[in-house]
Amino acid sequence: MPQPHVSRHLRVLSEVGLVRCRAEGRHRLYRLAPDHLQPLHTWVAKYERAINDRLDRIEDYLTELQRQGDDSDT
Amino acid sequence: MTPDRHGSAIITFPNELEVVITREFDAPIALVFDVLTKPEHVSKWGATPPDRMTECSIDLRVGGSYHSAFLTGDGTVFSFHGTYLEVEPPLRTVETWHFNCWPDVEAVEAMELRERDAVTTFTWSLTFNDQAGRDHMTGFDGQQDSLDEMENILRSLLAIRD
Repeated sequence: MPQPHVSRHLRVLSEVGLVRCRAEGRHRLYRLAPDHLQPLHTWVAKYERAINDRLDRIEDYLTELQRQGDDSDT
Repeated sequence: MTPDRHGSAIITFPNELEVVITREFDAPIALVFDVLTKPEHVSKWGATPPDRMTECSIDLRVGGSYHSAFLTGDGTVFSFHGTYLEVEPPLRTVETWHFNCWPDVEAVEAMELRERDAVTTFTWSLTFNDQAGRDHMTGFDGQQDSLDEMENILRSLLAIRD
């Protein structure tokens, strides 16, 4: 990836608070900002889990219904 | 025996107003449709213990309404209600969506099913009337702005691939 692209992406990440930047001479040093990443990770994990739990319960129920159907066929 | 597909839901935010979730089930489309739309089935999977489903009524016809209510372990009540706009068994339903905890929010929910090679794909979408509505989704458990941050990250990552 060309250097200007890297700089642009790092700037976006910096603007949303996911990385921190400090200048050192001609260089700009970036590091991750874990305190900002954590809430995002927590939110995504929680949301995904709630949705997956619900859909997993539907799957389990479908499996059970089909198993019962097979049993009654024999 | 088919391996389970637990945890395989795909959740996407295609634009500022929508949430779209897709999930595959190893079951015929007619059975999946019934399980999603008949109260005697929904009441079986609707609540995660220790939560209980205290109400589940579904009048599955255009203009008919649905209402579901849940009581959580700590006594909180969650309820959802709406009116069916489209009903096309076993392929699709479209309905208005209201959630008691977000009284100012209006959304339209669509549930679509497709079957191929004995696998039924369920696509479940919520389209909010305005971005403030969907931002409730981004504020899941009080985490405001998280989704916007996520969108920014994703945009940035996608741009990197270009």
